[in-house]
Amino acid sequence: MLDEAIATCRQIADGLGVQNQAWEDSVVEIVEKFDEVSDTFFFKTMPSIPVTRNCNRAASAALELKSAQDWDSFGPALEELIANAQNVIDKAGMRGTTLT
Amino acid sequence: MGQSKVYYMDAHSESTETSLVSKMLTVFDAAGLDELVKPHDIVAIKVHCGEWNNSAYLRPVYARALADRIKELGGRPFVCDTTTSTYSPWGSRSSELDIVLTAERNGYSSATLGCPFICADGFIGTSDYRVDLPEGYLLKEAYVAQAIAAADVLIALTHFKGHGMGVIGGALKNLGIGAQSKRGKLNVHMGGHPNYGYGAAAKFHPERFKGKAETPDWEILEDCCPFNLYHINENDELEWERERCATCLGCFGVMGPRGLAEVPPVNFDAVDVAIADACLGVEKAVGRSKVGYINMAIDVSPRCDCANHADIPIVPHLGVFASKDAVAIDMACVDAARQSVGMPGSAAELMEAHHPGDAKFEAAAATFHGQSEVASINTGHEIGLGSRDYELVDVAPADGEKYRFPYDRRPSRQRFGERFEKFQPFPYDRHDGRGFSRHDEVDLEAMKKHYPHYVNGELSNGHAEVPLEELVPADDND
Repeated sequence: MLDEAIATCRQIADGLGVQNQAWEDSVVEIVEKFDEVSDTFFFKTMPSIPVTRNCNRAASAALELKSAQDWDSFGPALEELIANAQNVIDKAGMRGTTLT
Repeated sequence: MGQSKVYYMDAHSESTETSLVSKMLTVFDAAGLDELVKPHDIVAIKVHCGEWNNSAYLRPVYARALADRIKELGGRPFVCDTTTSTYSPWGSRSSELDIVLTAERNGYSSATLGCPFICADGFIGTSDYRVDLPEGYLLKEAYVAQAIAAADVLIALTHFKGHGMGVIGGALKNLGIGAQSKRGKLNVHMGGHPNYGYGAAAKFHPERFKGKAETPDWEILEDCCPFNLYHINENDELEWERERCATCLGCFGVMGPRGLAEVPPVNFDAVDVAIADACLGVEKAVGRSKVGYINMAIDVSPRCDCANHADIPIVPHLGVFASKDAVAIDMACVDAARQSVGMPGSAAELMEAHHPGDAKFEAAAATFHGQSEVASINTGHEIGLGSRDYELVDVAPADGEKYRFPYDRRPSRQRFGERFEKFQPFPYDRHDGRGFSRHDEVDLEAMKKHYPHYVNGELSNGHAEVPLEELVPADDND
């Protein structure tokens, strides 16, 4: 599921700098962070599903707006994606998680 | 094996006789569990006393009421739990000293229970009774906590909920894990097993250890194992004597999140099967016809009471169940959860498994995709412990009189009339007999309105203004 988010984010980042370089940098950073955590144990567990799914949805929404070149709506959608991505990265650390 | 009977009352409460405490006692009798107890029988009531800071475990009043009922029947009850595996470096129930303190903090003590609270497997957890299990699906022996094996009758008073490893935490797990000694738990958890044990099946990634200098809390990597099997050697490398791993689970939460080890899902699957075998071991230790089961399917949290927290219940209260069959009673509870709507805001909704028909525990409780909420049930059915086929018997409430305050059943004038004359709580002699100093009349309506108010510094417009007279129950058919 995280692979899907990474792929969508790559599509978002592709050529986004023409519109706004800061936006592209943010999405590229998300991809880099996701790559770093992608092989952690968290993503083999069920608790990874809700946060990753939310992130996928946010990424898909942002990609749709990019495709439609709806730049007024894209900014808030990107913020939503960043917040969701941050949540995924935080949860991947599994700090304090009790498995049993 | 034919159909087993599961006696059931729903979770609605509106009167003395429909209180959940009353319902528990009502299904206890309806299922014939009262007939298990003979005068002078020593009766073990097996509960989960809850981990430190867990808040979903059963309130002690249920065990107290059951203990009182057993005393009425002439039995000699004790309430018990067992030492846990060292499944967390900071667990609160791994020795008798620890579990008794935790149980007392959670309200389980002789003072509250009216009978002793016992750690059934001794100070460290090696006080047990070995049972051969030739019929076991996976286990061939079980180590049952001594105090439970020594009892004449066992009542498993179970909080039915989810569990990260067992997927469900029901009657089968209450005995299949909870009535095993610590040694028995290591057996059920597959310690030393050549295929399913953590030592055999986990993927170990010592190459991901970045050295002590870059790991400020490196000591926990060694300290999480009470068997002293993790070491950081003189070359600053992480080593693990995996062939000696007892599968106590203590390193799961330390190594997994750091990427140093991967918990093997097959270990969880094997444990779920072994739970039913071990439950059979308990029945054999006590006597196959001397064990009764009560499942309180309330506060159905996704994770077990062995977690140091409790999440929002994944379904509303399901009800109170009793049976002589551990398999049937758990099956009935799983079915009830499956038929139920999921709780808004719970893990069931987060996992989008909140619809009637969804397998809620597999979605919201399991640690890994592919774990089954019926694996223990199927195993129990297979080995003859019980039957997943059952007849659900609706039980009517008993007479409320039976469940009133028992120490003085007289009505209040008889109990307090004379005492109120002597120690008058209402000051009739003041304010012309009105008793207290108060305004004669105030604007009560003004206090019933929803006013705008500040939230985080911003003015909210209050709640939607609905005239109070319109606040009548809605008719969904309108």
